[in-house]
Amino acid sequence: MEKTNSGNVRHAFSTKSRILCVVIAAVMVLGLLSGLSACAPKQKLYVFNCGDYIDPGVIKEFEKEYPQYKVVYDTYDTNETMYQKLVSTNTPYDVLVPSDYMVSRLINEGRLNKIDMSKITNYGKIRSDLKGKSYDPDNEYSVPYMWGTLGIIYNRDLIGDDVIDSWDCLWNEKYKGSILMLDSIRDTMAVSLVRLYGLDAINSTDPEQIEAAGKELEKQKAIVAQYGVDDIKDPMIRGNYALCLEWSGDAYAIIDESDYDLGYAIPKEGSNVWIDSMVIPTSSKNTEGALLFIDFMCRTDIAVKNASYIGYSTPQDEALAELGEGYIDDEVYNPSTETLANTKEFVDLGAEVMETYNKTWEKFRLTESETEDSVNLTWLYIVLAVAVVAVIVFFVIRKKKRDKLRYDD
Amino acid sequence: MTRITKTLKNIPLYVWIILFTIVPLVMIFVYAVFEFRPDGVHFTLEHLKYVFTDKQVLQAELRSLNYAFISTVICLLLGYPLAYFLSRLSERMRSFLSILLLLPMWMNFIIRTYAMLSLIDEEGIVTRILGGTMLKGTDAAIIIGMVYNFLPFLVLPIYTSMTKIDKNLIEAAQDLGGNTFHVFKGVIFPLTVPGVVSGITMVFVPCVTTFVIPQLLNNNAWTIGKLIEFKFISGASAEGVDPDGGALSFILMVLVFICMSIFNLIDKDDESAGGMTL
Repeated sequence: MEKTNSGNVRHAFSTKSRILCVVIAAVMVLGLLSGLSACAPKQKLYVFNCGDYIDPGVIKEFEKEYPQYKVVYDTYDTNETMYQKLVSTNTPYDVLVPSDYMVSRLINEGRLNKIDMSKITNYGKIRSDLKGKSYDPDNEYSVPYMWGTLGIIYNRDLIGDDVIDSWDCLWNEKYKGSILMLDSIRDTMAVSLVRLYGLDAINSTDPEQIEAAGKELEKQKAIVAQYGVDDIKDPMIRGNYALCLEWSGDAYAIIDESDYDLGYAIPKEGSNVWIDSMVIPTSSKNTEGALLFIDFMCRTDIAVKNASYIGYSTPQDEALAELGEGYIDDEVYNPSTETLANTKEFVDLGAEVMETYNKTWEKFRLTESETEDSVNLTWLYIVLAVAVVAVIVFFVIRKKKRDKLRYDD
Repeated sequence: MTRITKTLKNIPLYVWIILFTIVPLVMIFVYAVFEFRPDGVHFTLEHLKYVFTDKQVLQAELRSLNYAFISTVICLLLGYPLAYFLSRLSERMRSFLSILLLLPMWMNFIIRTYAMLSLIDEEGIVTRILGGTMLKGTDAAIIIGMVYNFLPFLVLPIYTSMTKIDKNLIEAAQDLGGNTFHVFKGVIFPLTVPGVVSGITMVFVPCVTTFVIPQLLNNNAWTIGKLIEFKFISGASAEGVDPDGGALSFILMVLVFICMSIFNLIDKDDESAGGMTL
């Protein structure tokens, strides 16, 4: 009785589900057809950007304004991942947003198309001191998107009246255990290189200089409390440390969020200026759309939206003016032309030199620092060693006893 | 005939092992000893030599093995009694407590480590209790993180092997005049050794290779896991992976394998011995 019942139910269900399938299929086909008819003139525009590096509303606005395009938006986490994906997949990316050194690598490898700047009507709005940088001296390949500097955040409440104006401060024994460092190979090495050899050494390719810079970082290790990227922000906000190496975009947010008297300094020896730019890779099949997109991103109202969403400095004076007071007169967010004159951008150093950097960095990061307050484990080792010996002896004795027993049998 | 069907039945298992164990292992080895350059494939022992002769790499290996060893021993000291008492409770209490034990594992590993970090950082409650001595950035932090994260992996196999023990065996031992200690030494412990060994494996191996725990809790001196991670992320280029990374992974696997074999040797020894006692 029960069996037939359940059989009936199953049968009824399968008929129902069959009908449902047909209906779903019909709806899907209809949807596909109507979609095709509506989308037929739509071209796809492949944009590949860093994660969380655009106001999401901006893409919708672009599609509204240029209904012929459908933006296919994809994100990456580092320049290296972007590079890997660009060279290993067939996706016809139209717009990328790499950093300075990656732009120069892509140019060197012939992976970028020249941009017709006459089509970028808003190009003139971009700060002139951010153009013509060494990675793209004739402004042929890249349009700046966001930028910033590298500097030291200091905590007035902990350092008193000390003046932080030099990279030497990060090596000062006085701040032992109160320094936070960025765990980022090019940036951290740049600090050490500039401190030793001046601003021109920021892109040093001399193995001796690179190794010396690494040695200095090893020495510094004894007074550094922590190396990190995102995990050094909170401790700095909470006012636990005196000095912190940071990028200006994050520094602005940290200073803003903290209840302590924090400030940001770009040392007198000079520092790094980083610029993330929009470029068109050779994989692009939709140059017109790419140009429209880049131009759109440079429009003042869009630049304002992006800048306030991301929190990094916009390369446009007009957008800056619109952002208002707290930004335009903020030396962290908007450094003066004089400060900027004392900065230099990274360029691609090539695989061979990077090998030297990697080796030096690895050596430095593997070095153990003899910090006094680290918990001493010697006693633990002794106890453990004794325990291990005891266990082994125990087993050996037992086995011998057993063997003896066996022979006795 | 039955033999053929048996083999057929095992095919999915073989395919799985070949695809996800043998092939990756061979690939790691190939990457460790061959260089793939535009001008062809070259055989080299450079990278293996680097792993064995570079003083700092050796130190890092030693450091990682140290952390793993200490953590495993502490896990064992905490986990074995825990499993023992757990197995002696009533059925209901047992299942309730084992769920409590497993509860943290339902949370993501990285989130758990972040939670641990917030306990031992500058403002953490542990730091306050210790009167300002911060554990973050010390060796102790790494060990606490490892023990906290991997303890359940050790308790569970021991607990399982304990609950599987035939009650009659224990009663027989008691009937023969064994006191609690004798019963434990002669019956319970020998029968749980397989659980102990698999528990040790489950803790020791991830402890050696983990890079999340050291990165979050003490990022001052790299462990071998961090080094391998660096080799694969920063060393990767359009041409392929960093062969040093392959060599390191390979050697690490060999090291872990050797350690495991030693454990297993003790295990086998004891099983035969345990059988004899009975």
